[in-house]
Amino acid sequence: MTTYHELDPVEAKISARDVSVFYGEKQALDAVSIDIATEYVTAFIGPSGCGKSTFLRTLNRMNDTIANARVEGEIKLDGEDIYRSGMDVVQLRARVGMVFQKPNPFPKSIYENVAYGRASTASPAARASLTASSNAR
Amino acid sequence: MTEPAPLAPAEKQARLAARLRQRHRSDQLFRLAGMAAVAFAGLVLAFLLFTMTANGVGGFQRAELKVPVNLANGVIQLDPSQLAAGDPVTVLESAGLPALVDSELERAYGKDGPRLVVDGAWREAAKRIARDPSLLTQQVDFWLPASNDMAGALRGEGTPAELAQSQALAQSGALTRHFDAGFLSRGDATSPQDVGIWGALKGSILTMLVTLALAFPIGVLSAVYLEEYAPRNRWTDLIEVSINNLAAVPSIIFGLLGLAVFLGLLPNWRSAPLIGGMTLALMTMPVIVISGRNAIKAVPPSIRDAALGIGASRVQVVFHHVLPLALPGILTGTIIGMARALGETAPLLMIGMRAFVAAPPDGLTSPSSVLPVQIFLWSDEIDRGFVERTSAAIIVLLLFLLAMNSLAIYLRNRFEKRW
Repeated sequence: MTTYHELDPVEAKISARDVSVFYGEKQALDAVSIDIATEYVTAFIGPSGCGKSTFLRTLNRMNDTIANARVEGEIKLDGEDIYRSGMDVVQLRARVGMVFQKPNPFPKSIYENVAYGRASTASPAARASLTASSNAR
Repeated sequence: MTEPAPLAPAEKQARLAARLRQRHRSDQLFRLAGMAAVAFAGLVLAFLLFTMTANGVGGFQRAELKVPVNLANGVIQLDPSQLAAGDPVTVLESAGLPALVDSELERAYGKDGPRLVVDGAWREAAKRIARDPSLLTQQVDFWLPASNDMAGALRGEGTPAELAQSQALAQSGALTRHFDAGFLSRGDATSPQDVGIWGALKGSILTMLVTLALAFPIGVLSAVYLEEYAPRNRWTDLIEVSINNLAAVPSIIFGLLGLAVFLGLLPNWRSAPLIGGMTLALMTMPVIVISGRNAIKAVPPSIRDAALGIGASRVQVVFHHVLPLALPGILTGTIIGMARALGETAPLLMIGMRAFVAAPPDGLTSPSSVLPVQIFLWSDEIDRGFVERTSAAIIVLLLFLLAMNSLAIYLRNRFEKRW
């Protein structure tokens, strides 16, 4: 069991307990537990292939898109288990945004790239106004 | 493990140089082979186009006989307002135009005169009068389609008497070949002097519209579902194998399917572009699915991750990112599928689109022919006059294909420019 500094529940935005990730037979993470404080910048540092990205991907369930990935353990966002059944993954990813190691500009204008996070989750009317202001540029 | 003995620097240099020469040589050889292949393909294409145009240009012309008709001699008692009252051709017929044309032919070319033009040649005169009613008070030179015998004799085929007569007429300037604009506006006919391609062309256009309207959305939706949503399991494997096999099924089998299923359900629409389009859509769909899946697969997964990672839903990922990026590839597949469908004859023979249809189709459900079937039917005709007409029809088919492809390429470039 790894040791970690447990935060006061009020400070912890995200708390992970005993998170293990498997890609098929291969285990990529072994019982990781950590609290991530609200209003702080937290950095994960480690050698290549040690599981930093894998852990980050568990935080907004991007591992769901990998066919043979399996997550064990518990991750809570504001005290709510994000792996419970009935969790709206799209909503979760709007709250826990993620930018990957390899930069991924969409083949669109810079404005559209920056605004896409808002545009994709906005109501159709708000999206129309975002697109309109982009076209005005 | 023993190290090879180190080489003297000079020897090493020589070996390197030799290998470099060898590499340059194979590079040049490969380039030459590629150029030869392209040149061969270009030659074949140029030969095809040259022979087609050389034969086909004649098909857009037809032999016509000059017939001087005096419309002002009082035989036809009509004023222009009466022409507009009904179908002008019918009005002129009851007013005695056929008899007048015949008597003028006899006056100009002797008592065999009326046989120098095709039956019903007066209709051409009637159509011209309908366009310009002021002709009714004038002496007019009409150019009427020459009879099959005269047209053949002008090409140098026929009995000595016919050849002599056509030569005499041609020398006096009364029998020449004119560009036949009507070829592009008439339907099929029994005489090569009267045939037109419009019936088959319109049939092909309608059939292609039905094919595109069915095959494109079904094909693209299947491709998107299979690539983006479907789980990988035995069922999707089975579907994938089935679709790949469907693309390789001989086209006549699709004709049998159309005959059994579509005509079984809708027996009244035999020969209709709707049924033809549905049958060809079955054939085109797998091509679109396969090319669509490949195009969607080629969109980098990181684009999907990036969009998903900031809260886009699956549908948004597909419509904002995947489809726009895959569209050029999908359109290329669609062009290939549609071009194949346009040239397809076999399945359409099965569902009755080889019938003789004189009138161009009114709509999706009226009997019709299509270009490749029309070409096949004309190439089977005994009358030598059909040889040129067949080549002309092939040129029309090629031009239609070219127009279709240019439209698709234009659309593709337009979509690419939006990024």
